[in-house]
Amino acid sequence: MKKGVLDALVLAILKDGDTYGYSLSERVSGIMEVAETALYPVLRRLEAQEMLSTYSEEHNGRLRRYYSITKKGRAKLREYAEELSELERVIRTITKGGDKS
Amino acid sequence: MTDTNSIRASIRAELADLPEQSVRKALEFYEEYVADAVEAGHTVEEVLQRIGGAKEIAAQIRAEAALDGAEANPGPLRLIGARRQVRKRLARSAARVSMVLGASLPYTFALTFYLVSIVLFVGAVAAAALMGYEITTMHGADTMTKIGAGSAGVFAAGLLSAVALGFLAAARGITRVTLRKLRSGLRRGMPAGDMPEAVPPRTRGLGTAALILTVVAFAGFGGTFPSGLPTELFSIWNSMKPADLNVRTWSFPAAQVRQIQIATLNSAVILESSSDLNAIGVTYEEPKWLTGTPVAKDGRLAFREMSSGAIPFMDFIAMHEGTTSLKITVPRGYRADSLVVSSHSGSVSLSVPGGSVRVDTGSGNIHFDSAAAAYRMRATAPAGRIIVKGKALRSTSYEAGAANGATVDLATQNGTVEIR
Repeated sequence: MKKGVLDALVLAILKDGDTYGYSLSERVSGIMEVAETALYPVLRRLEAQEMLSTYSEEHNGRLRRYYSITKKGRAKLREYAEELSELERVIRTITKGGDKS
Repeated sequence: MTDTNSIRASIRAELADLPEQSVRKALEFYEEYVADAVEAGHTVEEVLQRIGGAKEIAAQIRAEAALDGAEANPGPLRLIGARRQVRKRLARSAARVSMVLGASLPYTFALTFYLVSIVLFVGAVAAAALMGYEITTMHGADTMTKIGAGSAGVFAAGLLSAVALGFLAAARGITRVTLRKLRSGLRRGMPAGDMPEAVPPRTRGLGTAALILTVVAFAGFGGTFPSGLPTELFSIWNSMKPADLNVRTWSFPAAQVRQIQIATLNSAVILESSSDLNAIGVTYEEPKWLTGTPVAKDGRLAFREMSSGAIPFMDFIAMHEGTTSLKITVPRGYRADSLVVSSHSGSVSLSVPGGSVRVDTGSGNIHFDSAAAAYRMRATAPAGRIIVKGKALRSTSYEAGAANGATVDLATQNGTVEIR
């Protein structure tokens, strides 16, 4: 049920707009506890799977890499969302049960 | 302030053996990350403390690269390497303990399956080589039998390698599971679970190869039947006496024979006295797969049973007690100077006296009738039993008799020695 939560989270953030590594990391770590270095491999793999594309833009005299979600990535994100909404229903039922007792 | 150039240089030095491109891409990411963090108001030291120093970043990149390599092309060595890198990266952390616990079961299974698969492949090659050897040594066989033997080899080798491929495919599947566990161990703080794979696995080739090998194996299985080889081997192994035995007899003047020396593969050897007062008679039931001819020369009667080369697996069949026999009859009162009998797996039955008697068998039983003379007796049966006059002994060796009588040595590896 916890299939690729970090992957899904990255795709969800990118759906709201392109962004760069540090900003992405800040936003992810604001939501879930993740090792600082965990993001790079995830991004690289999502790129290899063509879930996201990258481009570089100049920023303060250096290049900054931006990540952008692809069509394939959006489809994957919908898949994740469906799976997770099912999980959400299960969790809600479980917590309700816990409240009663 | 920490010098980012020196960090970059030391990471590069640590990863000198990895592909340049993947190291560069990874470094770019971390450098950009540090630069952006500094822009956001952090110091380099702060950021490095969070993501780790040069050693840790290098270990992370290395572990990721090892996991990717193993995932793209699963194999036992790559799996071992990836696990080692991940362990190194997680040195002494709590994540290492949970990673080791989570991944050790599939890891052990994967390695075991690789090992089984390798052993099976070696077995397949050995089966093919053995059959090639059998065919070249089957000088007495007809072409049909050779084709049958070759087909049996194809069957064995094909089946073994098909099963080996099955184990290989399973091992690769389990390898992927293990790699996912290792990967989630690497992302400390990440919930464990399935991670999408960077490179789609290549398994289609394995399935096709296994299918082809299975077809080849069954073709080989079918090919053994026209020669009649399977039924023949089956009946030999099940101790069915062949109908087409060639019974051969010889006769030698007893006065000219002082020594008797006999060696058989798995035919029984029987030595007994007869009413014929002048001749030593030899009767050999010769099946088509064995041959032997007694030769008398210089006072010695010698007989050696050999494979006729008519059917394969003679070494294998010779491990089984045969249904054929070599019978030697000596005149009553005749006493050879020496009697030497050896048999690989045939039994030996002896009731004639001799100056010195020596019997050796592998798995055959030995029956000795000592009533004919006084002996100095010695018997050994390290993996069998010794029965003296109907009583089974506890020990595996037995000694008895007159100190200066004629000597009798009876030795069997795992048969029974029975002394009456």
